Amino acid sequence: MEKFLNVPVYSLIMNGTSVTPVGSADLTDTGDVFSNVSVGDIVHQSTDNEYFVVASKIDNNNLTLNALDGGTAPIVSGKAFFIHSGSSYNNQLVSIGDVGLIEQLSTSTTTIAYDGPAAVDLITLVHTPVAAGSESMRDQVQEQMEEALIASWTDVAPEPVLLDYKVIGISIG
Amino acid sequence: MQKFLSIPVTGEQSQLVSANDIKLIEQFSTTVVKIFYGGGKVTSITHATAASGNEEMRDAIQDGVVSILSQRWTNVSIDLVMPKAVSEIGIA
Repeated sequence: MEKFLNVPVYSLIMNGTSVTPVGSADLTDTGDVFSNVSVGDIVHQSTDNEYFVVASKIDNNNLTLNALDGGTAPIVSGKAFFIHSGSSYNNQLVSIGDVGLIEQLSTSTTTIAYDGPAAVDLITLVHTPVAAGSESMRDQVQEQMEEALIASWTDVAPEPVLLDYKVIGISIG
Repeated sequence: MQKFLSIPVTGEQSQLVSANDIKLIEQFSTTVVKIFYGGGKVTSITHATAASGNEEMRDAIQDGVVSILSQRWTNVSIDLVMPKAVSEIGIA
């Protein structure tokens, strides 16, 4: 009986490098690069691994942000950032067969280790952050795994209900 | 209970790809989808170029996996209709 979680992964809209914020903006770039960005989208400042939600769009080069746990606004010049949709996603299957351990590896990563000999059998979910010391995302993944495993065998890939966090990337190895 | 995806390959008719013990399926690039299995085996499916950010090939394979795994044991494989032409399938 093979089972998966059908995890929603929020789509990447654009990425870039910040310039010095202008006026009241918390994130500034040039070239009208924020034309497809909307209020509620997720900003991942990857240089320092900080997360934000777009609070308002001043124009296509300037955003104001609300920091999630650990984020510091404004984002100064020279920081790499990725903006993901806060509403649009594609689903990716993640195996829940032979799971050995699920861990809250950091505030923004949860790992699923499988009960196999290969070190590559490790899936990492990158998500909006939990509070420091919290293992809330791990707990939700565990609960959803249990729900999926007790469902009918024909229900191969239920979509998990990850109420509080949004996954922006999944990798293996 | 062994299950397979039957994927048409240009010039080769269809090739069976295992749908068992899959850990993750990734749109690795605009021309390659990778299926990662337990134990580290990886099947690469090379296809005609998709638009950047487009994951319809991965989605087609995921849909096939879910469909065949939810069918009775006598249905061993499922014929996939791929949105892009597949030119090669390899395993490492």
